[in-house]
Amino acid sequence: MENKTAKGIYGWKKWVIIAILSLLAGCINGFVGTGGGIVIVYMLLFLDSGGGDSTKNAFAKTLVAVIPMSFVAFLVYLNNGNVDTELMGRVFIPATLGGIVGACLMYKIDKKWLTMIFSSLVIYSGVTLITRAL
Amino acid sequence: MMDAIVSFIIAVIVGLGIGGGGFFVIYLTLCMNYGQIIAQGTNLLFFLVSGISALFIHIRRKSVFSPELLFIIATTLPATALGAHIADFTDPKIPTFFLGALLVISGIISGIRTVKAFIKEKNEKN
Repeated sequence: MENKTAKGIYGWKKWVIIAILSLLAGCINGFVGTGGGIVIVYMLLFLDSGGGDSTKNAFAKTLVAVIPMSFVAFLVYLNNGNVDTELMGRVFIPATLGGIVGACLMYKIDKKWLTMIFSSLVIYSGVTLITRAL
Repeated sequence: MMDAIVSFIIAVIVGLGIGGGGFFVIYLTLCMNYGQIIAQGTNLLFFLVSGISALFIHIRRKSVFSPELLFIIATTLPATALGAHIADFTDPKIPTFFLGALLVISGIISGIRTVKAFIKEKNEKN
């Protein structure tokens, strides 16, 4: 039996929404090199709002979806000569350790204050990039 | 050394799932003067390294696979390849602007959600 969400979206409508937003997420992730996860996480939170899916589970699912997406985009960028593999050689170990530390902390800390700080930083960075592009 | 410290911090943010996906692009473009497209390509590899290590922790803790998720993955892949090809022959200012706009929107949404969570928590305590 199909799970009905709090928004009343179920059956084929749910799959159409997933298909459209997934295509959008893929295009964004390929075009900008990041950002597809934002679309997917809010889509999962919206669709699962009545199914008891926790925010943390939505983040974990998003990570699972974004990794194959990023891999495909990475292959295209690499093929076009747009990846600095030398830099990645230098940061491979800290990036691996950081990912593990962050994932472990996710289940242990209250992220509200951290999210507020990083939201401000993200907005500031976004404005800086827009200013730079104009 | 600076690269290693910054990479570790950004990878922690990626693992936490609070929107760290674009920080490495920002670091590379604004602090290291990389071109936008090569920063995006390097960020993808960075995300794969930090994201996969975080994924092992999440998979151990949660059952994350579902029919919806498999459908999402299958749908996003061709779109991603298309987006990545378009990025290669586009004026770099366009993805820069797009990323900036995306960050501002996600920052605002994330901020609003967090403020709502704060208010809800405060009301429950009272």
